[in-house]
Parts: sequence; structure tokens; C-alpha cells
Amino acid sequence: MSALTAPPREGAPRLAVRGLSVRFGGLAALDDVSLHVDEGEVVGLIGPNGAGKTTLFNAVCGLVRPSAGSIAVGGLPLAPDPVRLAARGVARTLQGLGLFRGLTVRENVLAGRLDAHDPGSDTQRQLADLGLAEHADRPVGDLPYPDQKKVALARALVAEPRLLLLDEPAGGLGTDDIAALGDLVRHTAATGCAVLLVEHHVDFVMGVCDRVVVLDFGRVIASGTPDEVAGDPAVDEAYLGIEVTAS
Amino acid sequence: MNRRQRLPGQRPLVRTLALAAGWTAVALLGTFALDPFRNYQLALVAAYLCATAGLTVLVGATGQLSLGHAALMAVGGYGYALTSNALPFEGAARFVVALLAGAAASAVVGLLLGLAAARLSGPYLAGLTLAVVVALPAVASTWSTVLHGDQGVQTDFEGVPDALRRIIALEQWQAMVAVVVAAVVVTGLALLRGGRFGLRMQAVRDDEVAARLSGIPAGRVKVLAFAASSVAAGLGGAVLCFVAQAVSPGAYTLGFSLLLVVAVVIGGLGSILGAALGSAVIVLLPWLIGRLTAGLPTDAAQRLDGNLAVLVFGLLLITVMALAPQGLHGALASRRRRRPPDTPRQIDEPAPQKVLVPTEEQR
Repeated sequence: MSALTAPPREGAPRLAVRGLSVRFGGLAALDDVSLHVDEGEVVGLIGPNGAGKTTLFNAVCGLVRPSAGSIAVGGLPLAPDPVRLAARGVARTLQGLGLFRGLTVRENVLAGRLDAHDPGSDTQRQLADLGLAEHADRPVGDLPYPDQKKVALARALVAEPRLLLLDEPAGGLGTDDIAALGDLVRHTAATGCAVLLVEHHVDFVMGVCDRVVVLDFGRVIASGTPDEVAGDPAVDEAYLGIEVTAS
Repeated sequence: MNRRQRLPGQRPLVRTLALAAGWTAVALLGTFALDPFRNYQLALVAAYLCATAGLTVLVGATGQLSLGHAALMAVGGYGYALTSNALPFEGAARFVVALLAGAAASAVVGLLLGLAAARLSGPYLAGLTLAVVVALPAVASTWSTVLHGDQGVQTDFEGVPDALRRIIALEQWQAMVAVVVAAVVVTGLALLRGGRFGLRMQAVRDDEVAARLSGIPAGRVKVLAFAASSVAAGLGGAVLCFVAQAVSPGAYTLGFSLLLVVAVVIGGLGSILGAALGSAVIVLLPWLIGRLTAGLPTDAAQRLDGNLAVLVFGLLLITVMALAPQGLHGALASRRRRRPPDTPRQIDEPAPQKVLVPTEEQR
């Protein structure tokens, strides 16, 4: 029995997805998917393009309506409203960065913390943590791409989430940046935050994740530790074989 | 504003108020130097500024384009006139209550329009607001027992208070009142945009999904922004009614509504100073043209009167777009501070979805 079908450990998991199905017309983007992420755990969600990874994120964020199944954060069912996620301690980065182009770096990060008493100092600390302090007052579009990704990450982290959803955090980054990102993700998890990430970069996923869930055509085809998943023939066939030889 | 900490870069409340008080004092003192007709023009500029400042904040900070701000001015004007006529007392109290009623009326209409606006964007929103202006005369004649159709509503004259009657002429008094109202409106808008709500508006404008995921209630932000902008326009309409002692659909045509947009674009989208410059342009330009054509033979002057102004506005708009796409304020600001050469704008990015992006630093 895999870790994913096992009952949650003591206390409710930070994120529990049960029997989730999402349909776009006749297409089942997600079909009876279950997974959970515990406190302090990093779970990687991998699979070929179109496997349903981002759809799962969107369902968790209330951006798409599931046709069946349940999603619970911290044991409580999730309201289908993205705006209330932040208050529930959920933060997410977007694949397309989702930065506010008309704002400075600092203002972008502030926007993730506007309900706080003193967003200014929280933002300053977060910018310093990620080495963005010197660029704080530049328009965000002026930064090189890796730094823009950092800004998106800073905006998610500044809200001090208990569940962090990262959509392709390593995409477009170089080796050094990916290593730094891995450290940051592990560090975030060490503070007790649960991290669920979608990523194509296999080395990154295998290096940083506690558990990996593999999706293919909207179904979970494998899950377990990185080593277990890497040795699974079904995964090799669907995804990893191609990726490993390619990289 | 509240006990929560100021945002970094946010101008302290005291400084904003001091700045507003300073500019207002200059404008009020300035009325002593102007002749009655100039003071009348100043009152018009101040009234238009209420509407254009509201519009420039709406378009610049939220990306919602309204072509219907003239109708919202008319709502404020009717609210003012009807309340003023209904009140049993006179003087300053009547003016203030009627003004607040005008603001309240435009707030209600703005809220309703804003609810629709939050579900629309770009040309669809522009179309909706356009329809409101076009519908105004029909609304006025449908409820003609109250709104008196094309004739509009006349109001009682609010004269100079007795204590000031010896030193201040009527036009100067009207200009002073208009300046004070405009100062309140502009200060309110500047505070709104400079604080947390301002960031929320801009975040929603730049990426609505990302804003919602950051806990910003995008729909509510858009509705409130539209309502605030509407109140600003309504106060402008109320002031205009106070100056003209009447409000009628004929004063708030589609042409006038578009002229407000022209003022905002010429001044520089998103800039309140630009809105002031633009308002001055739309008041002074037709008058200047009238002066020029007055020297021509009567026949030619009659043909040109009115038409020439439209042509000149069109040319002006094209010229500004070609030479200073960021408007008068943008042109002035870029002359003062050149962008450092090491921070070029990225040009290989995909074009932003919203066409209307503010052009200057936001505070």
C-alpha cells in the first residue's frame, strides 16, 4: 500500500485531496485523484504535459470546480474562493509568474501581505532573505527572469503560508539558481510549512522532495519516495524514462 | 487613516494634508487676482477636475475605462439640485447637505454600475458606460415630473455669505467653493490611491488571478474603485450645478463625456496633476478658439464655432499621443528625471493585456 492511500498520520494533513475529479466537457483532466501533504513535508507532483498537475493546483485554489471529490486544508473543507485561501494560510505561485507589472519589486511583495498590521517590515525582511533588497524599488519588469521568479516566490512567502503551492518553480532557472531554490524550499518546509510543487526538472524534484506523486492522464500512477518512484516501471514508461535520457 | 502601519513609500498623512492645504491656499488667493470671467472659468476647471481626477484614478489604477463619467456628473448635479430645492432651510447648510446628497446619489449609481463593471472589462465596460450617457436624456424625460426632461432642474441661487459680500464677488465666491470641493475630492483620491487600497487596485489591474490568490478581493476592489470615482464625478456635477444654478441633460452629452476622457489622456493617464492640466485645457481651448474665430466674418465664424474645437481636440490628442504618449504630466516628469541608462524597459515581454497602464510613479 502506498503512502498516498494510507490514512493520514496523527492530526489532519495540511492538504488532503480525496477522490478529486475535474472534467472539462468530456475530458477528464483529473480522475479520482487522492493525495495529501503533511506539515513540514515537500511533495512533488510530476507527470507529462497535460497530466493534470496544474489543474489539480487550480482546483485546490478554487479556480476550477471539481466535479467530484473533496479538498481539505488543515482538516477543514476548502471554500471554492481563491480570495479566502490566503486567510487560510495557503499561498501559490503561478506558472506565468503572475507579477504585477506596473508595480515595483517591493510593492509586488507587499501585495501578498496587505492584510497584515505592518506589511512594510515583513516585506523588507522577505526581500532581504531572498537577496532582493537592493532591487526593491525597481519596476519588477526590469529584473532578469530568475529574479522575477524570486519576487513571485517572495510574494507567496511573505504571507507566511502553512501550505505553499509552487507551480514550476525551477522553470527557466540555471543550475545555481535551482540549487538555491532547493535550499529555500527545504528551509521553508523546515519551518513547518507544507509544500506541494509541480515541476518538470527531475533532478530538482528528486533532490528536494520527501515524496513524489506521479500523474498521467489525470490519474495517479505512482507515488512514494523519490527512489521508489524512480524505480517504478510504470513511471519510466509514462514519463521518467523519456525525461531521464533526455537530460 | 487607521492605526495600521504606513506602507513603505506611502506619503505620511500629515504631509498629504499639508500639501493639499498649500495648493488650496494658493488657488484661493489666486481668485483675488482673477476677473469675474476668469473666476468662472476657474470654477469650471475645479468642477471638471473632480470628475477627471476620479476618472484618471479609475483608468490608471484599475484599468477600468469609463466613457460615462458625464452621466455620473449629471447624477451628482440632479442629486444636488433636487435636494437643494427640497430643503426648508437656506445658506451654507443647504449647500453642504445638497452637495452630500449629490455625492450619495452618484455613489449609489456608481455602485450599481460598478457591480456590472466588475464583471466586464475593456471595450465591454466602455460600451456599458457609453450607454449610460446616451440614455441620460431618455431617463430625464421618462421621469419628467421630477427631472423635467430636457429642460432640467433649476436650483435656488447660493449667494456670497453676508460677511464676505463686500470683498468677494459672486464669481469669485463660486470659484472658491469649487476649489475647496475639488481639493477635498483630489485629496481623498490621492489618499485612496497612495495607501493599501491603491496597491490592491493596481494588483487587480495587472493580474486579477494573482491578486485574488494573494487574498485581494478583486471584484470588491473594482466595485469600490468605480464607486469612489463616481462620487468624485458626482461632486463635480454638484459643483457645476451650484455654479450654473441648473442641471440638464444637454450639459452632459456624449461629447462632453468623451472630452473628460480626452482631458485625462492629454494630462497623462493616472496622474491627478495631469487631470488638472487636462481640465484646464478643455475649459480654455474652446474659449480660445471662440476668441480667434470672433475676428472672422460672421458667416465663417458661425460655421467654425463649435466644430473647430472638436477638430482641434482631435489634433491635440493625436499630437500628444505621438509626441508625449504619457501626456503632459508624463512629458514634464520625464524632463525632470531621465531614466538611468542601466535600467532599460524590457521590450521582449509579451504585451500587457490591459492597454491602459499608468504612466508615472503612483504617488
